[in-house]
Amino acid sequence: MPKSAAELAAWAAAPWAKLGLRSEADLEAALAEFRAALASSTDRDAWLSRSRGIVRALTDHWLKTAPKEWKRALGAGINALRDAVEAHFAAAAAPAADALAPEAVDITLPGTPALAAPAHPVLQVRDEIVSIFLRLGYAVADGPEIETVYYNFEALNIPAGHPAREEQDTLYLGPGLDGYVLRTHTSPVQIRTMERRRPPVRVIVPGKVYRRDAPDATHSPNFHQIEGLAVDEHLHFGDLKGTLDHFAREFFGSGVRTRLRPSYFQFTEPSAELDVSCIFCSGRGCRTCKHSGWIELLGCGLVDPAVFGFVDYDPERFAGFAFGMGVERMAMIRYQVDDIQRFYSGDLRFLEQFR
Amino acid sequence: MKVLLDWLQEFVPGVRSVEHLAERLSLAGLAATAASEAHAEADALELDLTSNRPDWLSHYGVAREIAAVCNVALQAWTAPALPAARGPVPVTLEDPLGCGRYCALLFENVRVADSKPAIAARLQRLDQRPINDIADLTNYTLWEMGHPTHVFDADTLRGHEIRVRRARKGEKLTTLDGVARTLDPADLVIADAERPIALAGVMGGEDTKVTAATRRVVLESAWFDPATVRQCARRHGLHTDASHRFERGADPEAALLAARLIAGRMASLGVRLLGGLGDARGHLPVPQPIPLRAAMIERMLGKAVEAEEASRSLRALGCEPLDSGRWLPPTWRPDLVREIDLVEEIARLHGYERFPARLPAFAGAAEPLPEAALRDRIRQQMRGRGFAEAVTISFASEAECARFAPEAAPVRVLNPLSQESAILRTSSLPAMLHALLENLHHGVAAPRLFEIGKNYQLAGSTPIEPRVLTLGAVAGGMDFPRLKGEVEAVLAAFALSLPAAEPASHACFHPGRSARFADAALFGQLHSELARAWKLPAETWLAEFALEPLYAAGPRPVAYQPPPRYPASDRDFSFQFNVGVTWAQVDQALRQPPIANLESAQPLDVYRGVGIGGGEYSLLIRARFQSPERTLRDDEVRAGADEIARRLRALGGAQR
Repeated sequence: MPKSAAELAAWAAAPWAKLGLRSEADLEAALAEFRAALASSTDRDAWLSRSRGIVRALTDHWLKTAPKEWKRALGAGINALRDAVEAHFAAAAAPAADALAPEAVDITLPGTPALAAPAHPVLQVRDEIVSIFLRLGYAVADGPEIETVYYNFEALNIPAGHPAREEQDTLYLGPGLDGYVLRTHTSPVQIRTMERRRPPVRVIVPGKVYRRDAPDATHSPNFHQIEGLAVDEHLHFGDLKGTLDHFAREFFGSGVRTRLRPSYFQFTEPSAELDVSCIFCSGRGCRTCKHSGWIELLGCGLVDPAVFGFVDYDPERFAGFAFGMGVERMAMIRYQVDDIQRFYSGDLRFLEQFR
Repeated sequence: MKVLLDWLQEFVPGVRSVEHLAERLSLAGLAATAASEAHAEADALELDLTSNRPDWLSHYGVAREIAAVCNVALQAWTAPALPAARGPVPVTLEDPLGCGRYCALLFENVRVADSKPAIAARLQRLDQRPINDIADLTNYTLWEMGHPTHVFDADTLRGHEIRVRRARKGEKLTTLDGVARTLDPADLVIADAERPIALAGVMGGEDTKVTAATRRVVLESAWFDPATVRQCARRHGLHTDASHRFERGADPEAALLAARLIAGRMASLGVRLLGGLGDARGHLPVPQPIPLRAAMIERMLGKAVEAEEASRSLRALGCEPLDSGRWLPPTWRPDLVREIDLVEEIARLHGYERFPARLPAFAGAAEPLPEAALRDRIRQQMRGRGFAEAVTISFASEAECARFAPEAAPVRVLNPLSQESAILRTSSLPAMLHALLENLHHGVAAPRLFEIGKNYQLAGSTPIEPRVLTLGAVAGGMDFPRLKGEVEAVLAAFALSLPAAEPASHACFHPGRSARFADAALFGQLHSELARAWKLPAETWLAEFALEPLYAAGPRPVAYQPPPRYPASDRDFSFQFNVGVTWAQVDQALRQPPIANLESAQPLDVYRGVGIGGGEYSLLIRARFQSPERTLRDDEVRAGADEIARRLRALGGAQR
């Protein structure tokens, strides 16, 4: 007759001296009683609980108080019992394989969409460009979108009456806001930065800019730009080339080539446009690059000494370079987006493709 | 601007391929694409000109650049000398600052006819409309050598004299476009003895134009001050081929050349010179010597350019060497004033591709924007909770914004593109509604969007651009508690202690389903009337956060607490309350005075409806008892539970 669980627990808690075991056979018989009781037991804790289990009690009371010559055999016997107990309850816990069959699911059904929405493609591109320049040691700066005429034009060497002012189709503000415009570029932050710091300066300026352009597939009255500026002793045209070439290869991949073409901006001289070899045809010529093999990317140049005059930098001592790019343009080139308006619609059918 | 290859070849005979020219010119700064016209022999270049180079605004100007860039010979002008004539045309220059030079010639024996086919054809290929042989001559010369000129019917002039002066107050002039204009005293005009007959450098007058009846003409070839022309053209909303050139800076030496060229061509039409050159001079810009240091070239470009090459480039561009390294720029290059201007010329003729590139080394740490980490954390949170990031435009309709931000003084655009974009938005919510609508129109049933952007308004007379976070959701199981949870999750990231939510009291929101956390967040269900007006579902939810106070507070610091070591005991309470009893009251009642070992009390379920009397609701509360020191005894938990029940009854609750 197997002993009850309570009897077994009490027996296991008895010290060696009270057991009266005299031979190995007695010990084997005693342990056999535990094994016999185990067969019908369903209470795992009664056996295996770390604090109150029978196996623990046998170790604590029998083994610890047993004479030295018994310990080896007793230890082996308890270990064997523990294995038997664990095997017994493991078998009880695991239902037979065919018992699980009804629970099988169709693993080819699609997963439930996880709650994860995309970042905006333009801001993804913005963040990527900024991080490229952060890795080069640039600081990030920003400035107001409602900008003074002084910073947007004057200090960038675009005096009143200059055609370059009209070419930018500025949005003017008022009444009562004489002297303010919606900034037409992020370049004013060049001036704001140089007013605050002495060289060396290196900043990257992401931000929203505005033009009086009616919305169509390639124009929007507001869009994003990223401006870059570096000023130091000993910077020159080659640094501009090297920096932008590095940027283009980081952004488009190490296979692209770049070239600078002379151009004109009031606040840089010499000025240039940066072209990148067409990322779609590798420069062989396709529709995207209008069969030229090159895609126009951004405007840049050495900082015009007149600009240094506005921020009291000595042009005989310092030189620098600046560049500005349209973020939407970069995104449109990379993803071949055909209509800039898609970026501002909030249309999830569009946005969700940029996960 | 378009230029024709066959016309260019009259000045640079060696050039053949427009493709080759386009490539060379583009890499030297004159952006050009080859444009083959319908007939194969008529190749052309399409030019994208920069505003600093008025000298490129003609075939001769482009040919001059080709000669310098491609190192080929340029044909010089052969303008015939003026034939003998009677005394000079009387010209009085009353405004020497506005007009630097005024040349006038008088011709007779005019028989107005159509232009010769060769001339008319070229003008047509440049998309110019031939008018008559006299007017076309001036236009042809403009496209050929760049200088704008004008002809008047001499017999319509009163007093047979030319005066260059500012307009008098109230003077009127009907210009060639048929518009009767009242002139501004700042307008520079060409006048006869009595009245204005042209806006100087902009457009001629209707009354004095050449017609079929014209027998004698006065030719004007002048140089006008760029700013004067530009302001006049802007005032009158005019932009003409002439004003385009004068306001960028015409060549001051070209006025006489143009007059002589046209006089020669007039002769070939049988037109005779009657009155000799009237030539009045005002202040003309004079090119100034520019010092150029070889060291400057190397310092700016990172590479020395051979002195011989630099010198050859500058000469090819028309610069003259003076003593001690100084150069005199040509009269057609108003952009060449400083040393750096010459450095740029040398660089572009050398070829930008030939300068070595290097990636500069910098010392010091990279510095992200101070708020970028906070901003990006919000962006990640929102995306992780299923809100897609939107970017909307900053402009808004005043009417829409006024409802959402009635107190904000808007920043107005003086020259807006439309009434829908007449102000900068004072509230981001209308733009969010538009974005939600866009999605619903496209069959996206439950859009969820967020945007981090700005609002714009006047603080006194100063424009400010506070940054805002906007959430928008339609349907998809969104309700007030979930939206409040979204709002609280955003706010929880910041070291900000905000009072409890209060009613929003905002006309655009459902009065019973909207709230605000002080000035930091406004959120709730769109008012049903607005939802109807916008054709949005009733289940439209919005939130707007002011980010400035959040950024100013900074991130909530982490204050570590060891997790409890002793088990907790939970007790549930089901009570029925009058709807006038709010959770805030219940919460307050359970907090004050503190109940021993009460760790938390949370509403698990709020139910109104079947089985509950009208005006009542049932509330299921779960209370958690826990001690940091030991496992609580049953009687301790029971005492706390009894106290909770007592306080809930004191609030009028009935235990169910």
